[in-house]
Amino acid sequence: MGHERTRQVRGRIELINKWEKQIRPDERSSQDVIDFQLAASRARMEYVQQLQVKNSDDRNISKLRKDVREDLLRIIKINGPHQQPAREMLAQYGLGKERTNEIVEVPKVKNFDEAIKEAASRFETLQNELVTQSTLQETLAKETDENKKKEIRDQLNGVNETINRLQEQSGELYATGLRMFPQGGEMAQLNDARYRLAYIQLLRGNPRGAIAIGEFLSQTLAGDTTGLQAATVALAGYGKLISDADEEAQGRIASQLQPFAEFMVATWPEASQTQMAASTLVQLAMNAGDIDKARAYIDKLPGGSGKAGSLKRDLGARLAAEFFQEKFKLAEGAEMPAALISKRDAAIEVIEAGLKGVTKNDIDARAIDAINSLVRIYLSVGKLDQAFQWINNKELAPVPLLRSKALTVEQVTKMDSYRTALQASISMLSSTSGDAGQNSDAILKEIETLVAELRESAGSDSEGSKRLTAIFVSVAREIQDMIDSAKSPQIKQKLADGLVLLCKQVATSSDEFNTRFWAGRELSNVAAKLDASSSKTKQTLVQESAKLLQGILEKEAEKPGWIDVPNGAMAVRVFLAQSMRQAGQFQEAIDQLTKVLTQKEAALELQVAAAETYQAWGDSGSTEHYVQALDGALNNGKGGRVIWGWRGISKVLQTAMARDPSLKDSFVNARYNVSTVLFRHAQADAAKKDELLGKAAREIGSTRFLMPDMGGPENMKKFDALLKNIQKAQGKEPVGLSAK
Amino acid sequence: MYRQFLSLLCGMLVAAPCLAQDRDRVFLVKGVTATGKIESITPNQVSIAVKGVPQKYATNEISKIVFDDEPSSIDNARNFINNRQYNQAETELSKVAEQKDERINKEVKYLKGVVAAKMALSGMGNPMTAAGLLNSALAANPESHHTYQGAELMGDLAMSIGRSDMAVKYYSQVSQAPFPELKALAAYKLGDVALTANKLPDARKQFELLMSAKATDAETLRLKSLAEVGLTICDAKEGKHKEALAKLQELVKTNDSTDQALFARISNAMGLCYAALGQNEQAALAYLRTDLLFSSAPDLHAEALYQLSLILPKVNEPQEGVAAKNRLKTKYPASSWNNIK
Repeated sequence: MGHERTRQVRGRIELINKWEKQIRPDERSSQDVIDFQLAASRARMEYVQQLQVKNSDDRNISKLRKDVREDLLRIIKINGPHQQPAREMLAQYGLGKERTNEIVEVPKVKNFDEAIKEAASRFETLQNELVTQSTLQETLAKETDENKKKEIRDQLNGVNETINRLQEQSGELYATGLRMFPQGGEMAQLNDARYRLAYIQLLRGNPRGAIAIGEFLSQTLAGDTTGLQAATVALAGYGKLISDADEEAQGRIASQLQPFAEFMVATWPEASQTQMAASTLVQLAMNAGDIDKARAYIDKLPGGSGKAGSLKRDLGARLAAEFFQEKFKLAEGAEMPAALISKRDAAIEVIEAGLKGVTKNDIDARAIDAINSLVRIYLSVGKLDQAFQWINNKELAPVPLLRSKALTVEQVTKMDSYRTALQASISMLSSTSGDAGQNSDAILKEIETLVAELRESAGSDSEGSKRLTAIFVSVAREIQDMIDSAKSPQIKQKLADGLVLLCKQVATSSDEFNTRFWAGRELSNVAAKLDASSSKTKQTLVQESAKLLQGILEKEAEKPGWIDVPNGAMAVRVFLAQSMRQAGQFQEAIDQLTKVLTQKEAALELQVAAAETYQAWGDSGSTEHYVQALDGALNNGKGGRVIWGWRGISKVLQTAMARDPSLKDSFVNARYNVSTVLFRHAQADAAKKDELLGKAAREIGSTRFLMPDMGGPENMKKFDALLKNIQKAQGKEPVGLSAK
Repeated sequence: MYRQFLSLLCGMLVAAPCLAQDRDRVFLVKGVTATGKIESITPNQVSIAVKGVPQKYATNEISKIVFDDEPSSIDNARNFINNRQYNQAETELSKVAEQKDERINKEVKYLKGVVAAKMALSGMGNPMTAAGLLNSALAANPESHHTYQGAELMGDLAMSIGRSDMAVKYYSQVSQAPFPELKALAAYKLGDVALTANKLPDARKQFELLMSAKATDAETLRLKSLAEVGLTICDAKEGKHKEALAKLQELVKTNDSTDQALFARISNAMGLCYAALGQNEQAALAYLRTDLLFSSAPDLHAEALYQLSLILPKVNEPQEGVAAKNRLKTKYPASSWNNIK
């Protein structure tokens, strides 16, 4: 059976040999012939395997392997769909053993022709070795078996050595040949030798040599194919030079590159290599911040060029990034300068133009960046419909592409895509129009999914974790802004749900105290800003805030010292008390504050928080707590009280102010609250009304005596208004502070 | 019968010296080679009797003279010299024994001087020794048809060791030739000597003299291009670097880049301008162009290597700078560029 199969295969090989002889030289590059040769190589290797089983010393094996290798190397150099399978076969069948490794020493050449002939044969072998090198590198990257990896590495070392030798020898021979070029010799041959020498300079890591020759040839052969090839080598040389240089040198080389790239674009406007030069010019102009120039360079590219679109997308993304950076630096509430607005509009225009006609096949990481940038700009200017149009684009929306695994991108791009979609989904919550307003539950679900995807894409490394936290923080701020400006209670509630979801994610995304504290504090602060019309939303926020802050204290209890910030625990209790107070849990809030105050009585922030809590407790209807708000509570065993109340606070501050004038505002605030509490208590307790109103008015008078300017005009106004209300309640003429 | 044959043979032997000189050959730059008996040779003219009819040729029309009975090694050596394969030429000449024909001995002596001079100018020998050899060959044959080429070579050797005074002497001899192209060559060389010595008005005078020459033959046109570069270098040395660069770029476009010496000179001049303008990257590229593409003119290549050794460290390539310096020392040990402090 084995013999029969071997005979069949041998028959096939004979047939292949016969057909191969009939191939004409001009047919060798046709796809049919290339496909035939791929099949022939497969058949030959099958035959080799059979011969090896029979007799591994068979002399035909080596020859057949060498033939296969040469055929594959030849067809790999021809562009087409066969290149990948040919590379794979080359890797699969082994590369090292049959490699041409017989490189002789540099011969003594007598004239130009001899030198060029010797150089060309080495150049040809060099090309093959470079293919072998990249194939081996690919194979090594994919290989998991350590033994095989070692074998490939050894082969690679051999190939690298050969490449170095070939580069050195062919370079030397071309240089010798150039010196021997005869008067009246063939110019085309001379220029070809010069071009090859430039290419070898590039390979040998001598970019200046490549530029020196490449620029010269491109200028003396402007418009010619060899000139273009030489220009491409020079351009690559510049690329290498720039990538190896320090920042200062990079600028110098870039300014040298610019006129050359401009020359390339002007001389070979239609050539595909020119796109590389134009791309370089666009990058240089962008680096120099010259957007108009960058756009002008893009416009020079041939119409319908895919590269033009891609450069437009790059430029737009760059403009968008600059826009967001500059916007971030603006002071809160500051008006956007006209230049920034035009940068934003230019970003929209350029990205839209760059995305025109783009299909799924054109989408790469940079296109994703451009789409994300565009969506974020649209969201920032409230053009939600345009933003949703891209987010819901069936072919090009980044998140669905990532979910379908049709696209592999780096972590940053991935996270940026989820973040943009998250931002858009949250914006949908605040949208009252169309489907977005009606399907808020579905949107919340989508937010949950996106948050989970963001967390997953962040991975477990510290960089990813930092990035994740930064994203959550920035999105949370955007939601906070939306809550502030939303008019409908329903929308406020949905946005609050979104914010809670996000803050919880922030808290669980990090083990750092600061991050978790930020999440709890953020919810508490947002809740504090809401008025009575948003009580449900407020409740949601304060409850979740309290849970998060409570969780921090529990973690500290489990792992003392986890809160690594001075007075961190105290700050947590202040905000926890704030949340509990907002939730109506007054006793629990006081309990939290007392825990610290029993040990650190003089903590002013906590004393203020405790007085505010008793005051709010009194406001809630339990008027007896107004007394504690004023005079404090809980005996400290030393004749004083653990909680001082507004009166106690103001007394302490009155003395402390002499040493530290910055306490003046706190003192005035305490004095104001003394009168306020008395006034509110008077309103709630008819029996003591007159007495309490009189006290309230007298306290204002005392404050004025202690501090005639009342701490400044703003405070003066506040006290004046309060006094007028007191006077009104007393049935007096509301003359306020103007009464003597 | 036998007696008759013997007498014929004797007659042939007696006639042999005469017959030998009848087959001298004068190869012309253009036209058919003249074969016959050379009657006289001067620096300006060679007279040869072809089938008894005297023919006179100006030495500038002659590409080479091959003497009758000359060993083939001599002509091989001439070809090797033309192909810049001086070692092979030296080997061929060493095979030639002393000849009865003194003209051949003088030719061999001259060619040995030429080989030594060319080797020294390529950095492969001592220019002083070469000058000694060549000078002695020229002195031994003051009426040689090689007189002007010999003087030019002597001038080049003098330049290579920084003796501009001697160079002026030899190039001035060349300028005495009655041929316009040699006058043009001498003007160029004298201009170059003045330029090297920074005597810019003298240099300008010589270059402008050459530019005004009416001759339009290829060699004079080439010399005119070289003179144009020389004038541009004068401009550069006078501080007009930008204008000089524009002119040099124009020359790159309008000249034949197979002329290595011309292009080496242009590239080096560009390097000079860029360096003066503080554009070290561009200066390095210009000198690298000479090094990589136009290195067949030894003095210009040596200059490029020297400049590269100074400029490469300024573009963060100190090791490459040292490598250039080492190559200069190894390749052109006798070059005056090695002695610049």
